[in-house]
Amino acid sequence: MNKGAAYPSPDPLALPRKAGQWLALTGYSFVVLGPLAALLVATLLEILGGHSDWLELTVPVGRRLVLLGNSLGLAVAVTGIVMVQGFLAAVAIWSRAERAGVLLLWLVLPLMAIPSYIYALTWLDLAGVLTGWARQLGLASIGPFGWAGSLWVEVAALAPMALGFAWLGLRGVDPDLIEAGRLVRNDWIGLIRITLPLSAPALLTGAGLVFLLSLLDYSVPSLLQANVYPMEIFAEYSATHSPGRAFLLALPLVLPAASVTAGLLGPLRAMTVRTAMHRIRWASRPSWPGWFAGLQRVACALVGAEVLLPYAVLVIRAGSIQGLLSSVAQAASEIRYSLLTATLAALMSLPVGIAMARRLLRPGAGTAFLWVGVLAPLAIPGSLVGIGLTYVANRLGLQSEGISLVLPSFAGLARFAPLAVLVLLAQLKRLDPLLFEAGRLFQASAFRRWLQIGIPLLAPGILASAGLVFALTLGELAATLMVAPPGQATLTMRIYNYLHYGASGTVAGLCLVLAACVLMAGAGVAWVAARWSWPVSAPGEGI
Amino acid sequence: MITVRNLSKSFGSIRAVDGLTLEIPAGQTLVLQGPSGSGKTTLLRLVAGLELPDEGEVALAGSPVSRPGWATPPHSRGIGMVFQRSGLWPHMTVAQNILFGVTGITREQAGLQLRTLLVQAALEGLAERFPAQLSGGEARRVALARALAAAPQRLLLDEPLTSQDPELKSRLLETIRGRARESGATLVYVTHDAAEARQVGGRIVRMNRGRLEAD
Amino acid sequence: MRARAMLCLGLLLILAALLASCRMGGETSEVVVYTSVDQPYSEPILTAFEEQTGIRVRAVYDVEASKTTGLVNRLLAEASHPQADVFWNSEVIQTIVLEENQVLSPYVSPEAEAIPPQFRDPDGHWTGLAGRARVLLVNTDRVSEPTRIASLNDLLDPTWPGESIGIAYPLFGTTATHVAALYAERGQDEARAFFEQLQERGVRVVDGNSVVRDLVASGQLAIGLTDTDDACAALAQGAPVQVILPDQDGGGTLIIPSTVALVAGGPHPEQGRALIDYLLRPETEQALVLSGYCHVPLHAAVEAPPGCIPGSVRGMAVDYRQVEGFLGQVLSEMREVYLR
Repeated sequence: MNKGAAYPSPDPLALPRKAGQWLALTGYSFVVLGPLAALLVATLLEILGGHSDWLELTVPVGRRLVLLGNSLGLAVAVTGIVMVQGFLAAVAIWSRAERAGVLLLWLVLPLMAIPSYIYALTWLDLAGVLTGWARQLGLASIGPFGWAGSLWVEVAALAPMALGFAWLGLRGVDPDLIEAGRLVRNDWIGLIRITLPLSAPALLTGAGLVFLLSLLDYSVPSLLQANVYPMEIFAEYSATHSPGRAFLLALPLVLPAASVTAGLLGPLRAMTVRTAMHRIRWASRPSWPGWFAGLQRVACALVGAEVLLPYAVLVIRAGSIQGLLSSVAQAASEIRYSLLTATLAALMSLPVGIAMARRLLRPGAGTAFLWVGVLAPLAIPGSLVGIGLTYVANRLGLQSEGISLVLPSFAGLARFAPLAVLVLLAQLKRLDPLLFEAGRLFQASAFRRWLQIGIPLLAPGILASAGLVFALTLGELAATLMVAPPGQATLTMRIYNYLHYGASGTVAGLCLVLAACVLMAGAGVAWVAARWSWPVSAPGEGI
Repeated sequence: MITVRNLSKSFGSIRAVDGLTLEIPAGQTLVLQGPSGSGKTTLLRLVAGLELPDEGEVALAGSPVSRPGWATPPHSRGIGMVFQRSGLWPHMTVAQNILFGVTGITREQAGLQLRTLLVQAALEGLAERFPAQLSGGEARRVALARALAAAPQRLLLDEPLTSQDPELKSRLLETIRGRARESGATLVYVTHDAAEARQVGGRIVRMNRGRLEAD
Repeated sequence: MRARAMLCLGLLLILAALLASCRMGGETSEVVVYTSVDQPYSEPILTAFEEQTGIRVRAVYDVEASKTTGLVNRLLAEASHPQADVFWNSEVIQTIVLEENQVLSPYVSPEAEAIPPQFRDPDGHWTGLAGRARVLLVNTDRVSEPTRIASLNDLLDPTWPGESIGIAYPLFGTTATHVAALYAERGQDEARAFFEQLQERGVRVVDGNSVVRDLVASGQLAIGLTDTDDACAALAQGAPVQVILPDQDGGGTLIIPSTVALVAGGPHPEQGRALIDYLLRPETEQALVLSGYCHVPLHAAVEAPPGCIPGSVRGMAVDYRQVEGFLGQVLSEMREVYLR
């Protein structure tokens, strides 16, 4: 989008509009970066106040080094496996069953909102059944414990995300480029030399996010007895009750995470240029080498098992429709509060996301710092975000009932606004500046141009980013736990509470409710987006 | 030889190609003219195997290659094509784009082939550039060089000389005709420009609303 | 036009949602309680209090994933601006931690007199109720003679393979409390050696007491160390398990009381005291017994539930303050033993 006219705008709302942009940028800085900055300041004050020995926590030695190695190793393994699996499955769907694939994705992608902890418990459930059968057959017991189990469960939990990004990558390749290759070389060469390099930004972005999620998670490994570094952070915090010590201990983990997010900058920028979604019409289906087709089938089977089994276990555990309805009735206030929290987070993410995205479009020295501001929060564990928010809320005396009611929304915003920025930036980059320049020719009022041109053109991005923040906030626990006001709880909190109680039927029912909310949000977004999006050519296209 | 029989293709309610029958003997040149939306591009894509016909058949050298619901792979048809939009691979250099379809020769031979084409397509000095660094006209010439590089049996050129100045157009047309003659390729050339159509030579056919008008 | 309509609709939706969830005046009397007693057990008690007194209860429940740490850290973080009035903890050690951090205010409830002195803070900062015991849960399909297992030391018996035994991470909650109690009772060297031997045997270390319960009940583990509420729940659900009170002939079984405490500087101190009085009544403990949460009532007048464990439990003689004193060392050493 262009910066603005060289002459003063006749629009009386120009000044308030600029003030609004600054407010949104400030809001982003305050909500997303504020808690972390507050933690950093608090920690520095503690160190300067006589706790300089705490700095030794930033150097992983001995046992902590081993734990860090465990975390990094597990994250690398998970990332490698899940991305290869996701790419193979995405290629299979993309080249064989495009329409069915879209439907399948709508089934798969909402699983991203299901906490990974639930996957682990679902698999433990399954392991219990398999163990019983094994014992009856006189075989050794089957249990998903240890590193193998953690790897399997994390791959399963992250498979939807990997599949989604691989799909995005494939769909982002201009069919003309694929067809130009098909004319002269076989499909395998075309895939390796044309499609894969052009999909690389999306694949690398997906890999980076999968790596971060795996690296920062302790819930699955701790359940399956694989000791990882985030567990150490949690143990330190519970032992010392000191956010500062937890923050310093987290740094050796945050640094590789931050390196990965910095590495994401290039692919993200490339991806946001190339995110036009193309639907390819295959006149003749691609012909793959036999071994590659076989690998695709294996990948599809694995993804199918990873996706369908949790759904199946949840449905079986939920018992009956009556059981499901009873779970919903019991959790009505949590469902209501979760939907309110997620909706507020999604709505708040829009002005701050748009303001940040527009700012990122402008080249300049400040842009690099802004990119750090966008990517850095992705590297911070959710519990630290919650601690930081609580710290800020307490220091500022923000404890009125009204404000504490919306603090969980701020937690969702703090954690997921960066993703909203990236989605909106992608949409902005797709838009031809000519469309806005034409608007300036014919419409004097900037406000009406924004309302009649800007918002409709941005609508798919607005809906996608709002939908993403909504879905992720619904499933968020770590930060929400710290800031949920007395008398209110989210659906995820109730799920975790009932996990301990052992009411697996209720838990399963509530997980299905969670997935259904995300599915409906996604379907709603897709429906509105389909009615609001128009084919827009990227700059430079359309000779 | 390229043969299409009763070929039809629709996109939704739009009948892009409507019961078209056409035969182009091997080594001959056919110029396709017609207004925008007349179905020229769709016809080329059907011949190339990038679209499936709804009715009718495409045959190459007497063998059917496309029927409703079935088509042989595009790369097996021996076709070089310049698309309406250049379709250059953004992550490959000019040299890599041009030589992508060239196989079965030594590196030296490929180098010689490349140098020759760069000269013939007025692309000297641009071999290591990326498509984003080219002008519109240069990109078009790269697309042309890519189509010619593998000496295909059939050349389908969809307005290949867009954005070229008149002097360069003549030179490039000579290159196209010369390469087609050398390899004995069947040439199908799409253009709006009547003068250009006459310069190409060969049979001129007009399309309108998916059908042939005059021969 | 459509965009404007959508924008307006969106704004209206936010407003409606906010208004629906906001409580506009009305109730003037309320109390805020943070509780780590499982919501299915604590919520009915709090609801009954609301109905009886008309005081609205705003509760924050802990989740298993945070293992009491979440609430304790929240109380510490809020110390300068307390939001809670009452802390109802499922155990005692973290309550003592809060006392030492001056988060609690002394209040001796009239109802506290019926609680044995062992389960009360001498200065009135907290009072115990509704005890749970640390027990061994044994799968009777896998262990033919469960009564052979009578002591924690039996977990080192080579008869039972290490991977068939399970404990929760000894870094959190009642398991950490149990370790600290053993440090106090047996001496730190012997206690540490015990847990090191467990680790060397390859004992399963899982995410929480409920996970131990589930794995024993399903037969994936033969023996598990857990709390009575988890163990007896498995029995009540018909799992093939038996509950063993360890060391009844030795040092005794550790009893961990729940505790209630008044938060210093809380916004509703009078209502907080009323809630504490309510929670400490024998009727409340009886309700907790009936719900299956408590199997070791502290009120003499309250009867223990039949069927799960014997009527009388010989408890481990511990000073909870001394146990708390070992906690820091325990957490540090157990991290070295189990997190590697």
